[in-house]
Amino acid sequence: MLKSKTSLFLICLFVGYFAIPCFAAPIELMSASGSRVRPLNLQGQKAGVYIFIAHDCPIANSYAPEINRIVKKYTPQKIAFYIIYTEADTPITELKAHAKSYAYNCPALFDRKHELVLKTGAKVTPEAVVITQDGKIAYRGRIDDRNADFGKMKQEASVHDLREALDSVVHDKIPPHKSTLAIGCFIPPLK
Amino acid sequence: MVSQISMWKIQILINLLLLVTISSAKASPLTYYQNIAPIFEKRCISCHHDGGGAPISFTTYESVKRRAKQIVIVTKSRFMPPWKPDPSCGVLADSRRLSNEELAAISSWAATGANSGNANAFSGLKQRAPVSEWSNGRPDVILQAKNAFQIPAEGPDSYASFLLADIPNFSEEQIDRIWKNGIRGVEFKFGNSSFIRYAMLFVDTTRVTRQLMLEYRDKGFFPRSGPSLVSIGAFFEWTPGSHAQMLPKNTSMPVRQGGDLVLLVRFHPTGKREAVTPRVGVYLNKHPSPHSQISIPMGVGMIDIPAGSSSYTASTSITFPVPVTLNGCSPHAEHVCKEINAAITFPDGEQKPLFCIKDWDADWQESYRFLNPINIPAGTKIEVTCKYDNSSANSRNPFSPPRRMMSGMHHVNQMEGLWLHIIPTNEKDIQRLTFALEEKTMNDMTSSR
Repeated sequence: MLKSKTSLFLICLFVGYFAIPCFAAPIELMSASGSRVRPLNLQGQKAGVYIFIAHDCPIANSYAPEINRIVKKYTPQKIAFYIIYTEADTPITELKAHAKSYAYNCPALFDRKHELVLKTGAKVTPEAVVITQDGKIAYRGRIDDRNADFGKMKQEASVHDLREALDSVVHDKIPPHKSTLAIGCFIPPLK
Repeated sequence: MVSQISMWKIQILINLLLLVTISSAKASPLTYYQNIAPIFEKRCISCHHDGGGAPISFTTYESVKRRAKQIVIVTKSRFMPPWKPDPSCGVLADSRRLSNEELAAISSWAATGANSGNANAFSGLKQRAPVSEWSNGRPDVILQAKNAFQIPAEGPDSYASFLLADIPNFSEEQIDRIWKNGIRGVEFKFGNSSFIRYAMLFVDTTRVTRQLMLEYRDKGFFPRSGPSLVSIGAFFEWTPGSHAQMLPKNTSMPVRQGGDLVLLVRFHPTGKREAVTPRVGVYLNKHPSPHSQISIPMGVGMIDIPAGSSSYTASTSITFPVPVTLNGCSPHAEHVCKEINAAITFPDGEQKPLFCIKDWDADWQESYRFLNPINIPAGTKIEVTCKYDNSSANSRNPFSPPRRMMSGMHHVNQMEGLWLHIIPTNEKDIQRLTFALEEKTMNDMTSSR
């Protein structure tokens, strides 16, 4: 009896010892190119932009060209971009094929355990989250106002929220809005 | 005494427990297999299956459960399933409109855990023909566009018109048979069709498409919506979820000698470049048919809507000089249109609504069939009214700030209104219908001045 109690104590100690650094470990996700990436490591950058998508979300897909234009414009201004696939069980091969066909010009990562989804509070796809180098969320919400509601899509956006937020961040200013409502496909919670 | 009190307590407790059991039995949560799958089979799966045209497939419990929250929102707002006609006017076949009970069931199921239940409670989804196969057997003629059409990654919807008559494997004998016997049915095939919003196969007897095509011979298609039909037309339409369409027995779509078959397709950008080579399977009649299905354009005439106006109304009417059977209708209008109403007045004065859409959305333009074809005696009048909102309050207004909208300009259809799909009781009456239509067009032109 005593023996089993001692061993239980030892196991707890053992697990606890490793669990603490494990919980504190930086988020590391697999990318479409096969490497492991720490997207929150923003060394040498002003901010990171995380664009949450789902391969079968038509609204998210329709934004691919605009996402690529934004990446192209702001990457030289020390902004790191990541496409974040929010699907937990869609085969990785399918997601990789999707990333290739939409030709995203920034790393695409698979958030299978929703580590980034939970950390950033993203609720729908597409939704963009801007995190500054000090780890604070500077903006979370829609890319622009093209979608007024489901099925009500304007041909052109009149307010470019993500671009406005990034224009502020690159000039060390606070974005005009900290958050906006993104219209898109809900990110289903994990089982 | 003490024991008596405890007995009461026990009795009360038992009663309470019973009550809880009964009420929980009453409100036992709905399950996917028992309550939800049948609704999805009836209203959603025709599009939401692999290759069905919708971007998301809902053929498994997991796929529906995963999107349960979204499904509740888009069904409550009636964005999905898309079914624009109002149930208060006319009874249509194959309605995808969710009943209030079905809506409540979906909400309740999602709110109580979105459980699967026992798979044996549901007989299973209908078998659907794979994308690559023809659902009515091999067509007599397969028309295929010469070249693929390239759809840009973004921007407004684009149109292309394909002239389908002069294709290599189309024999003289087949052309002859089409002209003589007409078309019995069609099936459109677009492969992955999530980027196609609308398609129409029509007969162009004006040879205008042929002329236009001379300029675009290398491309194999005309990059716009081609000529508009202003006279009696004959066509089949495709919208997401459509399948093979066959006309009633002994009926065909007439293709007058020399008429060209033109396929008009409306493409919707999806975020990446796509290419498509549309195909249409055509089923021919073996013999000339005694009846023809033709379409009467009930256009509301020339429209001219001032910028900012939210109360512009235009209407038109026709009195049928001959008896016909009314099979269905196709509303056609652009984004500033809000309402389309059609009413029927029988010769004895009886009036009833025929068809109406209260929240028009040009993105969901489709062809509707009446559940029971309506036999119309000669002297019956049909009136069509369109209401427009060209103000900035209309979230579907393509222009901000609003612009003056006129027929033929700025995305405005040449034919704004309703096509009526009819079968004349006597085939020889088509000529008289043409005269009546010409008279209607003249009236519309005079009244719009």
